[in-house]
Amino acid sequence: MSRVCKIILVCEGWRDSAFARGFLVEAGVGGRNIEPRTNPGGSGHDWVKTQFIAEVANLDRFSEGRGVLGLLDEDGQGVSTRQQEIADRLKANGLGSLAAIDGRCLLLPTRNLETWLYWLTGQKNGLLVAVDETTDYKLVGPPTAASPIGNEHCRPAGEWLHTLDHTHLPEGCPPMLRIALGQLREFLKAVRR
Amino acid sequence: MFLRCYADNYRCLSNFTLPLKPLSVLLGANGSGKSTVLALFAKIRDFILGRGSSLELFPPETRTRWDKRIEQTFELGLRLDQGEYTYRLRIRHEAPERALNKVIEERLTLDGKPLFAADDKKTTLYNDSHEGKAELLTDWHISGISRVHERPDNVKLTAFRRGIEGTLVLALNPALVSAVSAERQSVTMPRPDCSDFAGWLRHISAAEALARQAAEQSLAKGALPGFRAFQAPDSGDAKILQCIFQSGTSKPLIFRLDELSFGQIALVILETALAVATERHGVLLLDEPGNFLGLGEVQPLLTRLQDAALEGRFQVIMTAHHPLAVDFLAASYGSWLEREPSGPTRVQPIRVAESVGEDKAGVRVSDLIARGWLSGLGVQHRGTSSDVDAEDSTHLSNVEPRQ
Repeated sequence: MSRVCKIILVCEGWRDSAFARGFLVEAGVGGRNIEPRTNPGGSGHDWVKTQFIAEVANLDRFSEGRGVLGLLDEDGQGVSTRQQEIADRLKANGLGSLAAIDGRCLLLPTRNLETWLYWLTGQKNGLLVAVDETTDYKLVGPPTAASPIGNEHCRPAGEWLHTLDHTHLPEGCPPMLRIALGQLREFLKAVRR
Repeated sequence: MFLRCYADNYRCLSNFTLPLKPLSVLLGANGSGKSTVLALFAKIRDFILGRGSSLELFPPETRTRWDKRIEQTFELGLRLDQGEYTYRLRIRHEAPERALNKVIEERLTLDGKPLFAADDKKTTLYNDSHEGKAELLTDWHISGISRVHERPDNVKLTAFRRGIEGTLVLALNPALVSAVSAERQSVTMPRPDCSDFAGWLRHISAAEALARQAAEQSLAKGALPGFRAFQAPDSGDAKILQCIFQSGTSKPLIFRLDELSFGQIALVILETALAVATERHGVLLLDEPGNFLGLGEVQPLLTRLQDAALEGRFQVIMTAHHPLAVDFLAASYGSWLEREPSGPTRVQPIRVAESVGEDKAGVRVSDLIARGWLSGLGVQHRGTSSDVDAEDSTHLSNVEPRQ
């Protein structure tokens, strides 16, 4: 029998996709059940917002789908601004508000995915690293190396995130990552139904 | 990882340079030269490894038809742990009417320093300190590099050869794939059409058992539901490659490879190739990997190829017509090849503006290609393809991905 795609992953680029798939596959979701949709032009907030809304609408239309997971960098725009933008679009399209437990989940890495990669890579290597949500860690190397965070860090960081307990996260965890892990646990319940 | 490929006076490739990345997707109309580029990699690889002579691999009809010059030139840039290798090969067709040619230059450098240099009179082998220590017998038709024995003082050259050995070129044709392999046949490198896959899998089972195991596990986990393992029982002087599937009863179902559907055969070969490329940390060149596959199988394959390339497990160079492949990969990793009916192939990178948004009248890349609109978006015909730069790239400003 052919595969059934259960999760649509909407992200700006391959790094976000690899990170999210690392988490999901580590959680036991089959890689073949995830369809990554990344912006063909690289970064592109508008593209992610548009696609995410379209896929949320598709989730209501097609029962085979179980979940839509989006990743959208905050990039200094403010978390509440990002959330409001999505809420406005959902409303304009006649769609209900997001709830991870319903399989409709949007993660907002703040400042961007590299903030999470930086912290998780440090954790994975047993280092207590402090991060803030305003620095752009794209320009800074991971705590264990001089070179910038690379593609090879994305999937392992996602896998490592799954091993953490969102109710007892280590000190220094970026606040939005703490929220994201809680959302992801709920999301997993939805897609496993 | 291959960094670039250059060819001059070879089929439709005239003064042609193709820059390469960890993932490169070649796009273009039929006859634009995509498959020619991939096949050329196989030919150069086979020449360097001594799997064919210049007479067999580069007969006179491989010269560019409208080009009167008698010399062909090829160059590969390859980056390995040792540094950046440059391999250069020149062949002179002195008597095309008698299919006679000879190698007039074969040269290998590492970071610009010599490792091997041959012309039609003299062949010099350099040691790892780049000192010309040995003169070898010159052969006009066989690669001198293929004839060098591995020794402690030529580790750099033999590392290059091993890097070349890790190059797999596949243009699958499941209709030609046989389940039978001769008892004594050892297929160390499959033909591009993989008609000798059964023999290749036997070689892999003996020499790269982990790759076979990985391929079996991957097939069982997803692409071929019910698949358990390969087996190759004797049949007279040959072996028959069979696939064992789980059945509802205690007795498994067994099919010869050539009893599977074309799509299933393609999946078996592709999974094996992915496993081998991972094991060798090599280069996988795929001509239309989406051919024969069901729609549901294309996206998982593309995702795995992208993951492997971007995580540095192996390099992927592929051609694509499949709309899913075009829309998923072309904008970020695509190169557009095109040519006039009797002109040389030109190549330019495809770029998509970052301003793609919901307020633009979006058109998918595959739609642009299907409508013939791509070549109207900034493609410039230049004197040489090596003049490629960002400003002249094929520019897509209103593109949206496939829904």
